[in-house]
Amino acid sequence: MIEAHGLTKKYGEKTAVDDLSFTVRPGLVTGFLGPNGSGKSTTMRMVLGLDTPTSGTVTVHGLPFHQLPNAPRTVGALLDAKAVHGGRSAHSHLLCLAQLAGLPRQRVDEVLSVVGLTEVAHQRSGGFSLGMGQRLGIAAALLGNPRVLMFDEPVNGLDPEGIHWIRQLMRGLAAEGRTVFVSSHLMSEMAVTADHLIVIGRGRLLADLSTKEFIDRHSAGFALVRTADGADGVKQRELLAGVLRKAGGQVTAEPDGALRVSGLPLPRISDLAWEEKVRLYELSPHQSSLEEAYMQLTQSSVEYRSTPDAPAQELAEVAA
Amino acid sequence: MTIDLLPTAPVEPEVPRSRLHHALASEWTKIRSVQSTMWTLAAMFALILGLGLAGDAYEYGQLDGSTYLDNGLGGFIVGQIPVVALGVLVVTSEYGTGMIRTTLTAYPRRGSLLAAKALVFFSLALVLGTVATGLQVLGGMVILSGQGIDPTSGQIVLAVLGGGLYLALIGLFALSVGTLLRHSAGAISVMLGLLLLPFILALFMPTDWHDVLLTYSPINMSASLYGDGAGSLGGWGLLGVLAAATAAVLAAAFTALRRRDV
Repeated sequence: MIEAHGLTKKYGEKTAVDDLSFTVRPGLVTGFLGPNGSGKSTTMRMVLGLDTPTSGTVTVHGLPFHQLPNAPRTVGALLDAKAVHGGRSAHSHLLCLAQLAGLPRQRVDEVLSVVGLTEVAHQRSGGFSLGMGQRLGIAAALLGNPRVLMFDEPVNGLDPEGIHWIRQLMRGLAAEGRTVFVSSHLMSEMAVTADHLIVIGRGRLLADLSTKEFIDRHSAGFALVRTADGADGVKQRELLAGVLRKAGGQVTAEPDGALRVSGLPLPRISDLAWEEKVRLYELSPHQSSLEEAYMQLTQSSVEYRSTPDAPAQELAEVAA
Repeated sequence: MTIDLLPTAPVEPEVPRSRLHHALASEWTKIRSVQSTMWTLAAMFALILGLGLAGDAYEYGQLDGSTYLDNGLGGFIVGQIPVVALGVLVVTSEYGTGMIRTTLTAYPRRGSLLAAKALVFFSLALVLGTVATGLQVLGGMVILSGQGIDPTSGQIVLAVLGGGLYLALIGLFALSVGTLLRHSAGAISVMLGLLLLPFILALFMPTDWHDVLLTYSPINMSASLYGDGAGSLGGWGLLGVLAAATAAVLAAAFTALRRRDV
C-alpha cells in the first residue's frame, strides 16, 4: 500500500509534481501513466525517499520510506536498469544489495535464477544488453521478497519476449497479493497489464480509475458517414448532420468530408438518411483506440509538443 | 476508510532491522568487487616501494649526513595520488553510474551509509598504507643500515605508522570531497590542487603567507613524517591538523548527503 497526500515538488519556479494524492492498493497492478516529463519519476523518487517533497506526504505501509525498519524487505524498486556499476558482476552487485538487507548469500542465487541470469552471474554487468540489465534490476527489486514493488518504465527498449516476461511477472506478483506500481507512457501497454490506472499530466492528477472503467468510458464506438461529393453532396451532408443531431447524435466533420457520428446505432443513422432521401456512400462502424482516448486526456498537459515543419509543408505544397 | 476486500499479504516472519554492520558488509563487497580498487592500491605500492627502494639502491655506499628514511619521501608524495583517487571513487562511482539511487533505496539511512563507506575505506587504506610504508622503511634498513646516520625508533614509527595514518586520512578527505562534489573528475582535480598547489603557491608569496602555506601544505606534512619538514609542529602535530581538517570536511559531507535530493 502506497499513499500520497498533497504531494508537491518544486524545482525553483518549476512545479514538477503538483498536489498529487492517490492510493496504490495491494493485489493489483497499478499503472502510473503520463507523458514524458509529467512527473512520474519524480513522484517515484519521492515515494522512495530519494527526493524530499516540497510539501505533502507519501507513505509505504503507513510509514515514510526512511522509517521502514528494513526497506528492501518491504519495497523493491527498479528505477533505472543502467544504475549499476558496469565493472561489477551481476552476482557481486546483488550480493552487496543483499547484505544491506541482511539477507543470506543464497538469496542472490535464487533471484538470479528467477530472472534467468545464472549463466552470466559472474560476468561484468557493463557488457549486458538492455534486456539483461532490466532483468538484473528486477532481480535486485525481488531480493527482499517485498510486499510492494515499483517499476519505472520497465518495458522501455525491451524485445517482445522481454515485454511478455515482465508483464507476466507483474501480474503474478499482484496475484500473490503484492502491491505493484508501474509507470509507463504507453497506454496500450498498460491496457493489457494494469488493473488500475493513475494518469498524471504536468504533475497533476488527471484520472484515477480502474482500467475497465477507462476502457468503457473512452473506447466508445462511432460511425463514419459519407455522402456524395460535389456541391449537391455538401448540401445533403449538412441536411443529414442536422437531422442526426436532432435525433441525439454527436456529429463532427472529418477533414476528408465524412461525418463522425457517435451516440446513434448504425441502423438508426441509415433510417434517418433514408427518410431525408440522402444517399450514403459510406456507413461504417469504428472504435476509437485507447491510445487516442489517452492522448485526448493528456493533450493539454504535454510538455514538449511538436509543431509542423514549415519548409516540409512548403515542399508538400509544391509537390501538390 | 473503506473495508479492504482485496487479498491481504500473508504474515511475514520478523525481519531484522537495517543496521550499520549490514552497510559495512555491503561496502566491503563493493570495494573489493571492482577493479579500480586493485589498480589504485597496486599503484600506491608500486610508487611508494619502487621509488623508495630505487633511492635506497642509488645511495648505496654514498649515504652521508642523513638517514635512509629520506629516500622514501618522493615515492610517498606521488604514492598518495592513487589513494586519493580511490577515496574519491568510493563515492563518485556510485553517482556516476546511478548506483547511489539503488543503494539508498535499499538503505535509506544516509548517515549510516556514509559512515560505513568511510570506515571501510579508512581501514583498508590504513592497513595497506602502513604495510607499504613499513616495507619501504624495511627495505631502506636492509640496504643502508649502518651507513650514514641510523634513524631513531621514534623516527621509524613516525614514518611507518604516521605514514599509514596520513594516507588513510588524506584518502578520507578525498572521499568527503567526492561526496560533496558527486563527480569523479571534479573531485580528483580538487584533490590534486589541494595536494600540490599550496607548496607551489608558497614560493611566490610574501614571507608570512609563505610560511603558513608551506607549513600546512600536504607536501610539507609528508616531509615531516620523513624527518624533513618545516615548522614547529612536527610530524605528529601536522597529522593532528590533517585529522581535524578531514573531520571538518567529512562533517560537511554528512550534512550535504542528508539534506540533498539524490
